[in-house]
Amino acid sequence: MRLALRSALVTAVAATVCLSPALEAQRRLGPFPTGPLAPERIMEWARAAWSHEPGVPDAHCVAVAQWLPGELYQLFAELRALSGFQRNSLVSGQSRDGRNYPGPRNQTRIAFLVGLKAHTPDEVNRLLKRAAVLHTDINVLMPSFVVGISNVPSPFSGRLTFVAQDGRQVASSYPALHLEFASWLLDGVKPNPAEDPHVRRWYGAAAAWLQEQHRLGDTDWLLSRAERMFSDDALLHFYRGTLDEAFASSRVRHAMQSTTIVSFYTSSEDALLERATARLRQAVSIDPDFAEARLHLGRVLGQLGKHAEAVEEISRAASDLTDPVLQYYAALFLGHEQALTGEPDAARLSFARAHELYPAAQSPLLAMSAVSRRLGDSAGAQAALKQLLDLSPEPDARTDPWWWYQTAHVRDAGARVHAWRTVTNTETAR
Amino acid sequence: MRSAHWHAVFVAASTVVAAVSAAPAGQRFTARVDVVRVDVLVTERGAPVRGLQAGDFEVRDNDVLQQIDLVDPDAASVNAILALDLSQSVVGEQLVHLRRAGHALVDALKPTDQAALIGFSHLIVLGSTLTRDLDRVHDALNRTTAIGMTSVADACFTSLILSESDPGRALVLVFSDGVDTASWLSTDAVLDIAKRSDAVVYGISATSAASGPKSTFLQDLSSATGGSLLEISSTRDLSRDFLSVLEEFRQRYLLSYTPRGVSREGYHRLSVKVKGRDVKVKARPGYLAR
Repeated sequence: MRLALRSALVTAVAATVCLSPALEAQRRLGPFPTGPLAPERIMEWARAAWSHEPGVPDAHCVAVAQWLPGELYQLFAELRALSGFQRNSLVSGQSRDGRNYPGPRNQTRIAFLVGLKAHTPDEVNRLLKRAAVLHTDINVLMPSFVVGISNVPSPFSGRLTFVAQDGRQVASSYPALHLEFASWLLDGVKPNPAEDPHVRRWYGAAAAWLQEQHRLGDTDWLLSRAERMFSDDALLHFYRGTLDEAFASSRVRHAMQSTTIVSFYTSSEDALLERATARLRQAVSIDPDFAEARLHLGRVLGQLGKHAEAVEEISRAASDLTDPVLQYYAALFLGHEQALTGEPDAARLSFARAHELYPAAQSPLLAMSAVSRRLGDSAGAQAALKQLLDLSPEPDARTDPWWWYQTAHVRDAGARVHAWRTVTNTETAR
Repeated sequence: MRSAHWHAVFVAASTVVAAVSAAPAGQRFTARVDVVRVDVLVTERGAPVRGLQAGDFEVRDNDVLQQIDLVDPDAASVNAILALDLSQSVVGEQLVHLRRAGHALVDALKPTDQAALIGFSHLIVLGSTLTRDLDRVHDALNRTTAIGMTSVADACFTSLILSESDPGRALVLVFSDGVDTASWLSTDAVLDIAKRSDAVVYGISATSAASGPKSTFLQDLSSATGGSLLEISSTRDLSRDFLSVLEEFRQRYLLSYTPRGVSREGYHRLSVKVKGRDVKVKARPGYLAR
């Protein structure tokens, strides 16, 4: 719970930026090495990929985590030339820095691939997946190594991340570089990454982890890539819907507007909510038993003023939800919609249900007090408020899941990443 | 450079069930008549105008002229409710200034006045309920720490409801330096309650270039209740700002009337004038009957 709240305090949004000349100069002088990457570095990377123990921040992680972003990008370019694993235009052609990376002669290429222990398509696939584990683990297990303050965008995606706290920008940093790298690597899986269950699971796990960290810009980028491959995936539609829901929130909108380096282009709140509605509808249409997606759908519909429809969707979701946190949201949101549809008594019952689930939560008590006051029941308003004011002042004794609603749907992110790692480890073992 | 400016609103009104006229300190209102109280500030060339009598005012409720009484402000004690932003962004020097300003305001209260303290981050925390034991409020101010997100709307609602726990004349002073990031209640819901409330809300908003676009909520809330919003770029002189709010509040007139010739339901438009004087009278635009 503390972790969930902590991540809710910090929001990371990302923009693809056009650099000013000064920043461009800094970019060239900064992390981008100018010479060719030493073959030893490629071999070191391959050794790290094969030897890294999934889920453990071992020495291989530490070594690769310390490479500069430019070195990572150069590695990627060399690998692309070596293995020819380009799948589409995203990973083919000229590199971002404008240089052509001449592919090595066949003899050298074969020598390299043998050295990398990846000279058959199957071995290349296994190497790419092992490497994806390595780079995912660097981002997930060693955030302090890779989340540095920076005003230099990612060499992979051209994005820069803005970190906001309490609704305002406090820093800028690299996006989740190693996840970007892993994503590019998985593009090379043959014959088609879109048909590979490992790649599908990776996108689900990585998107969950990024959202759990409230790295909204990174999630946006990742889901945009995932959508091209997995348009039939209910979970990915759900994540996209919840992401647009978060982007529509005042907290995130304000944070984006507070940035001083670039101007974000943002859609209107209603447009974002409409987009979220469409994605959440798609999720429940693919999987009608996806109660959590239905809960979010109801919440978003309510925010769009479609209160009767919201009551219907939330009620339907509530009957299938078993997790107390989700039941709490359902009761709270249902009460809210009932109050707005002229059912104050039903609303009070719903808020009482939410209070019963989380007695130390303040939101149901505020809601009960407000409904009573609007009805002219001052005594009822005072009574509910007194319950709130009698709660412990200690933050650790106060739990209100409302505070981490934007990340509650990815509370299983750690388990998803773990499950993906475990399967990958088994499938790629030599 | 300090860039403060006041968005003054001069009159507040609301329906009250229990208040007919002001009572001496400590005495409770007991009548059960729907009475509208109108909190009024009158200024001439920027300075408050004192010495006006009931007969000097003209109050119209939904365009219907009302028979008003003037409550003696010296007899009406002040219930000062401080709602202070204690979110992460206030940590450090700002918190020191905030505590100091809170102490200054509490010290300026009269023995018959009461004070309460609500601290808010994402948590709404009662520092002290309304009390004449002002040492309790000082102690609560000394215990304040800054952490977490900001729930301005929830805190304002809490303060408005808390103000109704006592029939005294309520001043809600809200200090915040940021945007709402954690409230459950919508700003519309809180504004709706404000139109039914007796309290006058004064907001003090500390903003900087890094704060991003301003939220209009505190402006809307203070306008709806007949208070004012002060926007400041530094908290260095926050004690002076807090005291100026209290001083202005003490300069206000409290009018009351039992509505005649109008429906008791729905939203009532209010118009307040001072007869035959070229003065500024600002009033909340109306109130919501229960």
